[in-house]
Amino acid sequence: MGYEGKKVLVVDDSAVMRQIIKKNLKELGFTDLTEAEDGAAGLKAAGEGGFDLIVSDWNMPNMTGLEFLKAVRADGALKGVAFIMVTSEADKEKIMEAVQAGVNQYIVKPFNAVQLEEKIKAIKF
Amino acid sequence: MATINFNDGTMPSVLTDVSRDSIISIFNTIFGSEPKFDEEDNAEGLGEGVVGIISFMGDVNYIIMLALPKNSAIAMASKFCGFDIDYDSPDMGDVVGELANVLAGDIVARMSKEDFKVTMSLPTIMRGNDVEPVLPRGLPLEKLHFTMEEGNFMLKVAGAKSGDQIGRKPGT
Repeated sequence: MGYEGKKVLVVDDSAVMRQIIKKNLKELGFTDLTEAEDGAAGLKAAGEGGFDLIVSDWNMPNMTGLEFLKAVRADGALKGVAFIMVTSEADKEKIMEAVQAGVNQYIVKPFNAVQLEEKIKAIKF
Repeated sequence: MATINFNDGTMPSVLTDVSRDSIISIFNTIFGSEPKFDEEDNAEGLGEGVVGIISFMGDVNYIIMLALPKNSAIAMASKFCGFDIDYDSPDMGDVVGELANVLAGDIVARMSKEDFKVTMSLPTIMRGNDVEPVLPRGLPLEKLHFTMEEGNFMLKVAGAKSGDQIGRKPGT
């Protein structure tokens, strides 16, 4: 599957995790990658950008991934953007909360490029 | 639902068992080899190194401190990221924080299976020589030592009182 030309926004408060996620996405063939350091910065970037996919951490200061997801789904221009939530917790209640808020896929850390691609393929964006 | 309050000053085995099992499982997944748990509590300190601290709140309040000596931190960071990280850079703190975060996420899931509902804080990072937070008196502390290809490391598990928190709450 060719991902060239697909625009992805990576949101995580950890600069290293952003690098790791971007490295995984590059391995899968994505080339147009933008990053933001928390949900608030992610929302601002998303509003400026025409993104096909958002990959966001859950636990972040300022605006959590869940708050960010809800804001994206409440925005008429952004609500159709595919959204993958990255988290260190596999708690069922949290997954349900994210699903109810409109997340497309949910991936638990640690993960690699192959596991990330499975989630991306499942979205069919 | 179970609760723990540390009234007798001892560390419940469920906390150390869950922490040990999480370390073995998560580090095996990340680094591709299983860390060996060292039953003996050698008195050696951390020396120069990095500590990632996370608080748990809920049916039991406690803290974990993932302590990586400098050389272990450098080797683990390189393996975790797939690229080298300068020990003195802010990125090293990010990596150790992320390792602690992933470990804590697994601990939350395992505690839930043991019927303890806890939530975790965001990680706080300390770096230096034999660094550790000042903990309240009278609460239990256990040190779990591990060895693996990337180097030795330690996990400290400490009881906390309701309201005590060292790591940041998510969203703050």
